[in-house]
Amino acid sequence: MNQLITPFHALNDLHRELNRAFDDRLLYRSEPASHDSGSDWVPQVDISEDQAGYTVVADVPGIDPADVEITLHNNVLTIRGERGEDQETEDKGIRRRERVRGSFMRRFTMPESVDETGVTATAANGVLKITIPRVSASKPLSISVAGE
Amino acid sequence: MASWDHIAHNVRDTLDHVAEGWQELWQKARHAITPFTPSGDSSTLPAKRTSWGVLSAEMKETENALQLSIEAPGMESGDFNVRVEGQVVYVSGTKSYSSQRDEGHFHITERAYGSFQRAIALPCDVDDAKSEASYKHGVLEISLPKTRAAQPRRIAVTVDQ
Repeated sequence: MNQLITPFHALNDLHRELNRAFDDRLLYRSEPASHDSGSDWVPQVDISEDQAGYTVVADVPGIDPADVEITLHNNVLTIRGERGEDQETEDKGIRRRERVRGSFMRRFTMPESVDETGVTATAANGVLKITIPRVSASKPLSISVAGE
Repeated sequence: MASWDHIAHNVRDTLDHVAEGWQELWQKARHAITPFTPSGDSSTLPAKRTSWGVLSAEMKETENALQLSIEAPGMESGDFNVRVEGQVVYVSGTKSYSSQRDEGHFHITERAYGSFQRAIALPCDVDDAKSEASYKHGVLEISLPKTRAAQPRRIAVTVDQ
């Protein structure tokens, strides 16, 4: 750890992220498969909620939107895809390589019933935006009590 | 008999494990981890705090040019500012938060918003005037032609008759 020149705020951030990861788990149970070795990287997401439903925004730079597979089944939203290899796989001339290639997957359990047929997704500039409407609120049933 | 020693040992193990993972991550991505500072128009929650994003870069050298690609999703091509100073290229920009639906609340905010700058050292001199950049699928591609002096010079061998 001594050689580690870590800015304190970076560590604090990590700490906060860990805390948040555990908090989030209560709502959006990350499926174990999200962290399987089968997944080479994990896209960053924002998930917000309003009256109309949920919006999931995911960063998937370098990927053709046509190659992304989005499914919503039994309230589990799965986003998966693959960032292909460079045409030239040879390392000749590579001076820096930070970009991760390979498959990604992320899975979230939505906290309440959502409308699986109403899901829409758009993509622009390496960002996926998935809109998931709520199941239209059921009207409160009034049950009349029959008299004698 | 789960003694305190046993628990302490487990905690230490876990911390070592996290530290090891963090170190590996740090070694791999330390140059790519970039702070995003709030910009002027940030009224929504995710844009109000300084966050850390990862701008992963890749650089390839050919005989006559350097090809640099940087992952920066969610930008418009006009939002970037690329400038070369000596043997360093500076890529800066502002990722603004935009949403038509802002009355909602956030469950997860992992994406970074705000202004950022990343400096990347180049292995040789490049011709700033001939540099080109394009943006596709969230990846900024920068082509930096080498200066004449930085290109390998072919020396013709004359054959004595």
